[in-house]
Amino acid sequence: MDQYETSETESHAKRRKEMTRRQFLSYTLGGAGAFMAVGTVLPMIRFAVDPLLQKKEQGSWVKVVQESEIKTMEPVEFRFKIHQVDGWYVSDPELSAWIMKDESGNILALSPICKHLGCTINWNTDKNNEYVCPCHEARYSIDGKNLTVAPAPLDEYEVRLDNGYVYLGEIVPNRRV
Amino acid sequence: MKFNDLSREKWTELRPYLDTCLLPVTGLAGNESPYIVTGTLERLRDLLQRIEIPFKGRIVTYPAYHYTGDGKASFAAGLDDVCGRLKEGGFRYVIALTLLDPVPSVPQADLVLGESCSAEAMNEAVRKLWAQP
Repeated sequence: MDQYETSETESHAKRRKEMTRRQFLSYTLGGAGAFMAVGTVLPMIRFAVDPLLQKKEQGSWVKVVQESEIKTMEPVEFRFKIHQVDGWYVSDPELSAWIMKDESGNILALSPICKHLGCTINWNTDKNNEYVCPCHEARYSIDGKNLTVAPAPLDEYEVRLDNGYVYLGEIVPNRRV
Repeated sequence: MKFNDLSREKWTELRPYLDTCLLPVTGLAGNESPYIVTGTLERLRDLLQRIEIPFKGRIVTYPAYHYTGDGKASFAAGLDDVCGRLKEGGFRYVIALTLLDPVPSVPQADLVLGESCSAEAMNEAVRKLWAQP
């Protein structure tokens, strides 16, 4: 093989490795297009999966009273304020809870809102160890069980003890009765 | 409950339980500046909550009777007339709640409560009213 054949073979080999202009343009446009598409779609995917990635919120707890002030089998009303943000409206409404210890020493905090039509109940107004609603005389046992009129037992607060203090959380349906 | 919480269907369903009308009486003369009016209505709102919240399931708060007008006599007579009509409309009890001091005499209202009455005293007065035979 002479030098001309060698150089011709080499240039053929070089031509095969080179990219054509069409290929380069295709790759460039395709790459840029893919980049733009990913840039648009990626935030959408992140938004869609965000609820799955969120840790479950603990909820806010409010320090209400010292554990030592809670009486056994004798509900006492305690008032406390919570900080509420509802859209642009910020408020600090006052709530109350009837709190006692049961015979096992567990703390029970009942919501004072009657399950009939939303009046505020009181403890032992008729001296019969029951919660009584002043509106339509719905009655509840010491555990919040509905005895008359009301269709459901009194709700209770989530309770947590920390450093000798009672903290109240969300209101949930009564789990005791 | 407030009057605007009650649709026709809800009123039909709950009417047997809601036998008490709460009538706020603002006591405006008509010559107050806007900021005074705002403050007055905020005080009235706070006063109403002393009864609206604990007795939510039995009381219906109606729109306020705002102006006293010129003469005390015509105002009291007008207020009394409204209370009478509320009873004609079906309410067994009518409670007037006012910022006026002294509270006006309203014979057709079952209770007339003023700002000087504490929350506990108001609570007790309403319970006593309902406890009467």
